[in-house]
Amino acid sequence: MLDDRTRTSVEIFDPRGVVDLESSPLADRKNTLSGLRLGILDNSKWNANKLLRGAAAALSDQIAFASVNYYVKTHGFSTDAPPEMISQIASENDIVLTAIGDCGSCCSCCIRDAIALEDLGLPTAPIITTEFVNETRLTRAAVGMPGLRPVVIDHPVSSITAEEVATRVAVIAAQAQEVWVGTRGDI
Amino acid sequence: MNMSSTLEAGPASVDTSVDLVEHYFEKGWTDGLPVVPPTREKIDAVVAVLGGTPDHIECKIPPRWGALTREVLAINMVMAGCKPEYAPVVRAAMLALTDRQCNLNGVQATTHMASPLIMVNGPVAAKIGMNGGANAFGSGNRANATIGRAIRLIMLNVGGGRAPDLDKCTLGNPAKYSYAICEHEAASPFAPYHVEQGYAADTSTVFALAAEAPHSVTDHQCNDPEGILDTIASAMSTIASNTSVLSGHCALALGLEHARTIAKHGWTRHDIKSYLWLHSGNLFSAHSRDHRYGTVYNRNLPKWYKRGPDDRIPIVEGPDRIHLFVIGGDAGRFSAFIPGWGHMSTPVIRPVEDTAIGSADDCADGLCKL
Repeated sequence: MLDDRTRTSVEIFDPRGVVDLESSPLADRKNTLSGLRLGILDNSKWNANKLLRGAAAALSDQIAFASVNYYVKTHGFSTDAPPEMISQIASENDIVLTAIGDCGSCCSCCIRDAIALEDLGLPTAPIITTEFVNETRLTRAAVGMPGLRPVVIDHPVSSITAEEVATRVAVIAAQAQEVWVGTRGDI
Repeated sequence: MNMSSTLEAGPASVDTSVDLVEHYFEKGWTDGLPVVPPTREKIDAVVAVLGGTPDHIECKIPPRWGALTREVLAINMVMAGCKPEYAPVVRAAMLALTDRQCNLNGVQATTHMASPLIMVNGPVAAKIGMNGGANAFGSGNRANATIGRAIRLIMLNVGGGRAPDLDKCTLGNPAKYSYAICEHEAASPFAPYHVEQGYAADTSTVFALAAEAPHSVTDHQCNDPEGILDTIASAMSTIASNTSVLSGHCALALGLEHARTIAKHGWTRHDIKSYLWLHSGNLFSAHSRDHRYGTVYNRNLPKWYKRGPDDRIPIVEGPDRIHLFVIGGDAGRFSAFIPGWGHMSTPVIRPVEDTAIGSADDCADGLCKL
């Protein structure tokens, strides 16, 4: 064994640990939205319901959905939706819109819920705000679905006026359709 | 694609002329303070205390979901300055934090300033020299400081919870360097916290709560339980804390002088918590701002609260969600209230020597909440 006087190198120990993850593909995109069942997943954050109900109305003006089904994450916007809720949404819908990722934990969980739904075959549009684009990139990579595409609206959301809600609703209605049919570009 | 290949491991060794403290800074592996450069001998000593098998995965740390093997746990502990005998406490803390009900993913990502408070009970605290006495939340004790630091380094390095990327914290909090103490059981006039929770006194436990920093409660006037607890209730009754807005759990560090005065009147832990719960909180009109900004906030409070303007909104759903610890030095009529993050995270208590993976129970229905 080399002593300190003759040793020429010293070992470095990486403290990060290995991430062992297989990445998953997106669900198949839809060719047409007409006749589909739209699921709305509201994370109960401030103003999420206004955005989602507004977007559902705007989308329904353009598209003849078979049904629009509304779900609320009542146990917390900063937690993942429970597996039973994800299964129920997957069994009752064909596409999903979920909001709102306008805080660190809300964004993380919105993206994780969207990936869980995509894994079950549902094209899903998670709505985030401009401040959380980079967190979305990192989270989708960490969870193993780098191809996920979000809807991006202006930050903030929780304290905005009715007029500001309406502006964001229009953006959601346009971008969500692109997500579901597969024409939405990357963030 | 296997994501493990995306880790840039870098060279496994460097020339002896390299300043290792600076090297670990350059790699981005510190908490902003210099770390102790790990050596094979120091790492092996920690792994031995954990039971050997360095590749054994204890848990995975969100939001990056890195694997916390015993060796990686040991590397972070050595970097933090821990002694090997602290290892069972650090491991228990990580197993508590990665229990599903704790929602560490959310705690790491949140814009709120929450950081896990780790409270140790039982004989292990004295055995490894933790401080629950004078200046317990402050500097100067190696076990407290480095156990808390090791937990944070694991959250940073293995969990990837670094700002401004996966940690979106708006303001941060000094407790995000280190936040691990023990109850001052020897001086407390009450049964220890873990005994209240159903553990034997000679069992050692860790309790993990996503929490704000301690908020000082000064009361040098009152000489009875009601007076002291009214003062503490005043600190609890703000509409500004996450606990107030989002319920969940909170903690109270009851100072020794306050604790002794209250105990002298024959009050128990249950009496204290019940009194605080009953006499803290806010009117719904204060929460609702008289509906000036709409009504969406209602969904973040428990369903069973009455919502008339003059109805009281409790600080948490019940007395058992106020976690009471007796802490501090012999002198000083101070206590501290510690708000939590909210109902998105449920605190976890677990025995130090129990190495089982955290509960797989689904907590969505709230059945597994403490």
